[in-house]
Amino acid sequence: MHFQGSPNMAEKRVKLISSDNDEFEVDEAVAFESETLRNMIQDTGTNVPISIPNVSSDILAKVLEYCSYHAETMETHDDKPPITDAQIREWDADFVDVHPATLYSLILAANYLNIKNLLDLICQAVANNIRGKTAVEIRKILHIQDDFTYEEEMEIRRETKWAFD
Amino acid sequence: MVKGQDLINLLPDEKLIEIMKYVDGRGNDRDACLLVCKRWRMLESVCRQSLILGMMWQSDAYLAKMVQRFPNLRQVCVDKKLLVLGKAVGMTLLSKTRRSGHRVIMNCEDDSNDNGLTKGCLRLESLSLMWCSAVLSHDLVNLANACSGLKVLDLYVYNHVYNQTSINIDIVGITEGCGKLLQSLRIAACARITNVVLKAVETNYNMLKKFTLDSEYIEMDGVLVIGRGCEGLQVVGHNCPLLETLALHGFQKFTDRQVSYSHNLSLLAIGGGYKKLRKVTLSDSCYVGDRSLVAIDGGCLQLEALEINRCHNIGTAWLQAVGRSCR
Repeated sequence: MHFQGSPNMAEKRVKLISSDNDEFEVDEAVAFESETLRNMIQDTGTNVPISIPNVSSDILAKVLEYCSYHAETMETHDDKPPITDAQIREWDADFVDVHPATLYSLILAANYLNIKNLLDLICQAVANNIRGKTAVEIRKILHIQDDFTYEEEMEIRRETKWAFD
Repeated sequence: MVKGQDLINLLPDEKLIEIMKYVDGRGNDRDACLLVCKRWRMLESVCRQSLILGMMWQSDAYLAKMVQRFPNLRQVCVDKKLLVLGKAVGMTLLSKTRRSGHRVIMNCEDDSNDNGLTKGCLRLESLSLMWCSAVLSHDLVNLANACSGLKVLDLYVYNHVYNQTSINIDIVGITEGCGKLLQSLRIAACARITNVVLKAVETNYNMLKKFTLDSEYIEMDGVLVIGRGCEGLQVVGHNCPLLETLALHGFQKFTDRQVSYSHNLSLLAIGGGYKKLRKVTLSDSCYVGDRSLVAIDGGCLQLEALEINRCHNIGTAWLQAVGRSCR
């Protein structure tokens, strides 16, 4: 798979390998959106493929889609008008409009790859998903195991009575 | 990706806290987060910054527990007749801030020694005590000494059952203790406010921007004290250069001409002193006369809002003055 972040052919390409052994090739500028990849590239250079053992190929593809778009927004082209902030926001909103399970995989990948803007974006999307929900609903949405004993839960409910009026 | 797997809890603490901060909004949502699982409960407690305790919480132990649960509180409002409040507020607020580092999980250690009292409540920025009739004076003073970062203090203390002088001492003590950062002070329904109190305000609060005094429940024997106390307002005027909002409510029991005269004098002083004043509210002050209002007009060039309710003694002279200075 190839991600064309920039038409500038002089730019270095970086090879990335996902957990299920798919190979991705991106411009260095795209990889640099990730703090983790930036550090790796600065350590080992671009000749060696970088393996990302805990991110699967479908998620890595999504992440790289985000990175290449945002790398592109940084560039200035003479023939095209610059991308406005509103356009970027719209693109971002579309980007996180995915199945919750994808969203939570993305959040882990963004955390591992240390892409701050993506992480902020997804944190907000997750927060939007759980806002206004009860604890039981949140557990269901996020597949969280209820690890309170009955007594503990009763005690918390007593303490936070105002939430259950 | 595996369906049905709890992925969110693989995130580090900081990221989960970030999500909770985005969730913020109304308290209910955060309370729901508390109940999700143990880890969420712990993290939510750490990052909660605001707490309102209402009427139903009646025991000291309960309050202590609640405040200890949230170590990073910036804002606490205790509302309505916590009859056995007493020591608990002082102690718990203090103990909570002792563990104010990040991600510290509180254990219920006992902070009820004197060392705890002097450690200080640096993170707390806003404190409201409403209808807490049983607050003891020395607890409030301790609290004030400890909360050196306090910016907003609301005291609404209807103290008719207990010894009135104790509340008096409270306020002086608080003004002395409560750091120089205070920007808003509201004292309501405190039975006796003397010029000692107001002088304390004056010497200690250089940063004060908003000062509200509501003495609806003032009793007859306290009226003369207030009359003299209003001379204190004069001092406030000269020493709080940043004051922007001043509200005086319910001085309706000024029955004595002499008292009302001194009241007028102090308003004259307000006019001279509060150059930055933007908003003045006077209500139920029957004996406020034209002279003082003319003075306010002349002195406060930045005045944007002047609200006067039920002040029957105001005549045409003042309206003329308003006309002159609002050109």
